Amino acid sequence: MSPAAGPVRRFRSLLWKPGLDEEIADELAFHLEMRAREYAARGMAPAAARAAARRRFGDVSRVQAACSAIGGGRDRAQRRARWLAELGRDLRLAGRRLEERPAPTLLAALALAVGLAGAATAWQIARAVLRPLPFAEPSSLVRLRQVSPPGVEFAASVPDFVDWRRFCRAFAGVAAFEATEANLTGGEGAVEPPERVLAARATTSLLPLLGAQPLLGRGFPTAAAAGGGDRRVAVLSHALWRRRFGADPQVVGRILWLDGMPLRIAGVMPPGFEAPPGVGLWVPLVPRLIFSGGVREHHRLEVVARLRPGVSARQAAAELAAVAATASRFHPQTNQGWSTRVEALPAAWIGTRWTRRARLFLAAAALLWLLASATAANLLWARAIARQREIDLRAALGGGRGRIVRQLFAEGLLLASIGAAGGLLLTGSAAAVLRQAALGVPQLAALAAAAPAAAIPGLPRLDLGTAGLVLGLALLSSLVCGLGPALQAFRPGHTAARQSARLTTRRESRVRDALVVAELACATTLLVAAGLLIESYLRLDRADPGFDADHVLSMRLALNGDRYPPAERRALLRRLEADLNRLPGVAAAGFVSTAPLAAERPAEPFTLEPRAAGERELREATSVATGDRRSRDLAAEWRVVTPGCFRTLGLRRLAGRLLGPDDRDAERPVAVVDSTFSARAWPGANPLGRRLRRPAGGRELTVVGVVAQVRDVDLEAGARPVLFVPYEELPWRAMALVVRPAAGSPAPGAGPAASGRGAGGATAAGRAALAGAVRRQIAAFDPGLPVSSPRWLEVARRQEAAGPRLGSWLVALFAAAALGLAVSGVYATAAAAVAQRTPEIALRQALGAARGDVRRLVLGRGAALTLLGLMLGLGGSWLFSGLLAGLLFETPADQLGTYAGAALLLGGVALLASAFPARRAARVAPALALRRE
Amino acid sequence: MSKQPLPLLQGTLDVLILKTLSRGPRHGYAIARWLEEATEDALQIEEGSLYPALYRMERRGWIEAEWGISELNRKAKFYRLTPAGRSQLDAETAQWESFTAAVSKVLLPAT
Repeated sequence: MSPAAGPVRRFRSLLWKPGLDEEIADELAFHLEMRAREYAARGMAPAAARAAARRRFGDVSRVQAACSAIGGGRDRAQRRARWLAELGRDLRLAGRRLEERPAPTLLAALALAVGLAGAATAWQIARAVLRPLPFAEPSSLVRLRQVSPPGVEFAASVPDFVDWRRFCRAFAGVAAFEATEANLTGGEGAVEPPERVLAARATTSLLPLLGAQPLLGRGFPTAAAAGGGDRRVAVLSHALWRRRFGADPQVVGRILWLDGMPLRIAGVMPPGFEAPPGVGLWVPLVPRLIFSGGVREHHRLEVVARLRPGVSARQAAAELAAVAATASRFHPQTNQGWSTRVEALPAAWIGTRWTRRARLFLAAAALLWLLASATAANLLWARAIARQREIDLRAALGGGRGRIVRQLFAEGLLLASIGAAGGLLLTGSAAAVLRQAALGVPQLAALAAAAPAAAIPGLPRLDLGTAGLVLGLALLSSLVCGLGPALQAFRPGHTAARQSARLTTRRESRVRDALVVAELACATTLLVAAGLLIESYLRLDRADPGFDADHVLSMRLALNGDRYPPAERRALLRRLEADLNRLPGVAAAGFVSTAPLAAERPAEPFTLEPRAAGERELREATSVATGDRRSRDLAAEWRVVTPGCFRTLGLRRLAGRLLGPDDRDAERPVAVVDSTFSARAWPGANPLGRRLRRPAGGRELTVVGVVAQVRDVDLEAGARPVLFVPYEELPWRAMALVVRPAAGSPAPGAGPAASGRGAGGATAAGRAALAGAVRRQIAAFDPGLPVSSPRWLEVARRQEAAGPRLGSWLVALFAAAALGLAVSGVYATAAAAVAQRTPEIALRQALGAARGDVRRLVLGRGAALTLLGLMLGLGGSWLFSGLLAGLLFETPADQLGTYAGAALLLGGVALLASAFPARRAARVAPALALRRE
Repeated sequence: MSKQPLPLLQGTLDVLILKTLSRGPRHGYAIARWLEEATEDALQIEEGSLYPALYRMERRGWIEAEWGISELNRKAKFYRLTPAGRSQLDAETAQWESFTAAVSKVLLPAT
């Protein structure tokens, strides 16, 4: 073998595969030569010996290939082990370096953690809200709603539902339900406190229609459909089963109490199945037996239907129009001019407001994550510049670019792990807070129903999806972060000579500057969004709903038609009201057809646009002919009230008088309107004395009083005209009782404990006592009168505001984090720039530049970047504000004040951040700096 | 010399190599020669399967290889038995003994 073979082979063995083949070839060649010598020793000629040896051996190339394959596998394993060992070494080295100078990496990791936590939190919320509903073939599911002549949407009445089921052939199935909040108490000896759940009274066809099989049990007994059999059953949702019954597999057959009525549990639905979203359990509904009977004007049923295969929604709509026309003809009083609307189901149930909110959160979190990554990148880059000397030295000593890249990769991995760990911790703590905030918000039911008690208390419980997201984003971020230092290490023309030059190429500083500008832009956008949302929420919170929700208890009361014919209802309610008002501890009591902030929302507790969306049987908005010369129709909300209601709810009289007990016998029926009504119906004129009439018939009403604008449903929507009609005029069956406890005196039966504590409605004991006293009074009045759903209105008010509150808090938090991150990015870049340009600055100083000039130099650059970032950010905010549409309450999205405020805040802090490095630059001693060269 | 060489039973090549190496490190050619001499040429090792077997056993960790200088002052790859290989050898030897004893009892009954 040639003398050069040794080093050549050594070099070649650095690259694996060819080396292996070389080795095998050598080995086999040796064998053949030995064999040839053996034959030659026996007397063969050398050439013949070689040929014989080869013959004896066989197919050399085949053997070579076989050995190569086997050996290659072994080498791969060896290589892998070696690579891992080196990675381990690199990680240890990175760890050691971290100990020496922890600041940049830890700060970068912190920045990453913040960005990751934000992304994970937003993702959890979005996933809870935008959950795809697990129905079979959701694209063929539709929701049917009735539309009044002026275009206001309602739920369906029982006769409507029956008509559709009977006459529409476009549907493979039609089902209905009504969802109400009810009190749930557990089985015998249950220790859990009663809780309010959303209960859906559904026709037995609902669950099969949606394509769901119960996880446990058999669901509603089929006999229930015909009205026979045992209808006192309930089917639980998976979340309720897990939360309240501990996922007990023997739960079928147990008893629970819903509003005091015992029900046998007949089944549990699979996880994730909730129709409507947020529902806790289903109870059978038999349309013709519910006590409102076949009344066409009580719109209380949410109707869902499944289109037959091949039938389009348009065809179905045509059939429904025909049914509506027939109803209009045969029942002009209730159905004249009504039509039916068909809409796709899954989207309708989520509601646009929460969809928008979820999207907003995701966008904001994306901005925050980008910002965090950019900041981390900046920090690492700054550190890499500081270590430039070391890297250059290593490269000069033959470290090899590959090794350096691997080193940087290891450092990036370390950063990613620390950042991910921090992110997971933060997300876990945020999740706990989120769970609290999600209570009572149906859209976030998935969050509130999260895992039960942690296996390891204290350790954040996160599901795999969220954890995976955090890890994935961490890895992505760290790759991006590593780019900076990698670019730094691979600057062109880098030789030992450049150690002294320490020149920054234009390209690098441009990239860094671009990063800073991007950071500032993201931060500006988030600040503006936060400012708008906070202002919107504050306005919402301070908005005057026109009634006093504090310390008001409401309950639902149903005057069963059989026991209370209409004539008797008036007298009954009058007596009951009087009795309740005389109760000690009660300041005022009254009845209203819909309690404010009614919990009995329709199946989508998330209203889309402002509408009197067929809310319950208890509310009806229809057109009102305003009489006088201009017969204009006005869509308004009705409230049927008793006189005590005004005082109880604290409605403020603006003009005229309120309804009183004398009105019951008046020959001319009267009404009270709110200021919105008055402004819309008779703008600028005096409403008192005007007359109104319902197009559907009924007596003409005269307006005798005006109250302040009332917004008792969906405060976020605009104001709608409200009309108060005396109960004598429309004695409805189901009314809501509202009671205001007397301030300063304890409720009856509250005991000595409550007596010293002020308003009877202010303490839990006082409240419970009041509710009990009211119930007892009603029971004394008539034991058979079902009373349900006691609620305190403040709770409902708080829940109403949950969405905007969550929105503003979350985005504000993001904005604060963004501010911190952007400012640290600015600082890091400025400091790094100063460090890099120290020789240049020293030179300038040596040539006579004053301190002030140097300061101005650095500050000027910082100011230019800040300005650019702010401008981009403000422009971006303007685009981003598109996401805020529909979420802002009385706050324009292009409010100049907010933009200016955000710009000033961020600009000021950023300038301050670059002021410190500027001062440091000015203090550089020229001789010292030059000597360091 | 002109005797027809016996075909090798499957799997015995490995144990033969192990046994050869138990007597000291050898290179591939030496292993082949030693086996021929020990069996007096009764067994002819198919050389096309010798080297793949060596590589396989090396991968399994029974032998390890090292380049060294051979008798001719040439570089050659020497193979050496590892402790794992030694225990494998013992195990297979025992197995072979019991196997042959059992077969002999059937084929070669005591007369």
